[in-house]
Amino acid sequence: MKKRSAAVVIGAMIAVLLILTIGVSAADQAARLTVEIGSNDYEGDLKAEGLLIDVYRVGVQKPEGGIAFDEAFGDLAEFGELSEEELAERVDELGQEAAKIALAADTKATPRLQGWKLSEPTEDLEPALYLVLAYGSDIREKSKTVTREDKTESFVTIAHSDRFEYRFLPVLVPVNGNFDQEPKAVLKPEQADLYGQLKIVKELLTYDDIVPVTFVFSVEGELNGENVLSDVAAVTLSKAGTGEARIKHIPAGTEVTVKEIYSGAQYDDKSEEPVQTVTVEAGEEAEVTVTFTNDHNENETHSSGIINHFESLEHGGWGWYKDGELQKKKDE
Amino acid sequence: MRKNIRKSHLLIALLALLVLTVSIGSAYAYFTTYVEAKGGYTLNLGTVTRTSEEFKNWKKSVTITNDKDSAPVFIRARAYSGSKYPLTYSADEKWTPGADGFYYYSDPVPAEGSTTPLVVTINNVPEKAEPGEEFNVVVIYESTPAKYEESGKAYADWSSIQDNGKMDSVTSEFGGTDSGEADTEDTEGGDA
Repeated sequence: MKKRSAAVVIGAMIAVLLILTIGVSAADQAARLTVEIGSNDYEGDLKAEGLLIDVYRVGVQKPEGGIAFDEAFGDLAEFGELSEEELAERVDELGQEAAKIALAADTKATPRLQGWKLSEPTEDLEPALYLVLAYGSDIREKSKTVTREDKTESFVTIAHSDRFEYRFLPVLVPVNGNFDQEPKAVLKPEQADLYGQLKIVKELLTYDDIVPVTFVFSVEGELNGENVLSDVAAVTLSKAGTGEARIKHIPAGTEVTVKEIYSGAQYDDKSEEPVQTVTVEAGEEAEVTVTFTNDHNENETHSSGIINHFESLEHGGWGWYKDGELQKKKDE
Repeated sequence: MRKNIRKSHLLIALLALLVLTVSIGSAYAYFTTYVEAKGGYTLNLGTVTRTSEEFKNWKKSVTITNDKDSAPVFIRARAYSGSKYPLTYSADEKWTPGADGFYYYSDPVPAEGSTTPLVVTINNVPEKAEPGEEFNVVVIYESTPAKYEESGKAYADWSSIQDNGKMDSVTSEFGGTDSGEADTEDTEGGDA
């Protein structure tokens, strides 16, 4: 509720500014846009020097009132007829839709400023309504749609640190040189965890058995002194060679310690490091790997195992998997 | 003299044949004990998927069945999980917890015989899963052929196993079974 009220107030301010600003005659002077990160909460992790800014001109004030959108943003025409109050209510939506148009694969919109760094001086912008988008300089995909806890969706641009994803809502800002105060866009990033995954590789030098052998590993993860992961993983092999197990969705930066806790009745751990510790990196492709090696110990004891994997489903329930295939859903 | 040599060669040959016969017998017994598995690892989990209501209580019921051609075997089993979702066990009096985390089945399981269920309960699992959350529970089982004292009493020698039984099947089901919870209380153990 508080968030919504704030959004309405900010929206109203922007709406007033839009009307006042864009309504000024052609004698308006160009102005220099300032962009700031509006929160110090993430200072030290979110690096301003790693951010790039794209600025798009979206439209101008029509003489008779309302907004005349530029051709590339013509699909926003319905917003151009809104009253001040209506625009204040829908300014976030307008920003989202404008950003979707700007970043669409087939967009006709051309950035007025592209790849601008906050530390660099910007050039003057002519009076108009502008869309400001911030993103990480090392990011592959600039934007995404995120679903919040209340199931609402937002179109955001993103930047990554080692551990977190920062999400920026698109910002609309009017530019008018007649104001004493220079136009300013304030970015309010939201922080979200990034995740990575661990791959455990089992190398079996010799297989001498008549049943598949299962190796079990304990996996403990610590982040900032707190235990954030405690699980087991297992690899089953029925011949010499390698097998793999993965543990996904581990918070990036987690220090994970892996230890083989069951080596099969007939096999001994021959790894140089029986306990291995690695740090999880962010990204699905950046999995960290630990490798354990076993060999036959001439004991003729036989053993085997059953691996049960449980994983969250889309609706929030649990799924039970065996051999990578969903066996049943808890709620069924 | 020559005749004596022939006799001793014959004796050695007979002894060798006897030894060979015993060896073949031992090896044959070994392979009889370990007739090709029907897949203890994957065999019976599939049946569980058709019994959805058994999943409700986060209970895994493990029953181990000996092969029809096998000698009697002793069985032990245990499960592993992370500390977030600890495991407890429940079973009848035939299952006894050991100090090593294994649960030992007291009776030798004859060919085609089965253990009573060992029920492994996965605790503290919330009704709703956090997005992306996952975890594993691994059940391990071992067997060894029954050995016999002079009195004829069967016993298990887990420390120096040369030959043990192979499971014809391991049935594992999710859901509580009355038979699996009847006689002993839940006991902590078995997690990693």
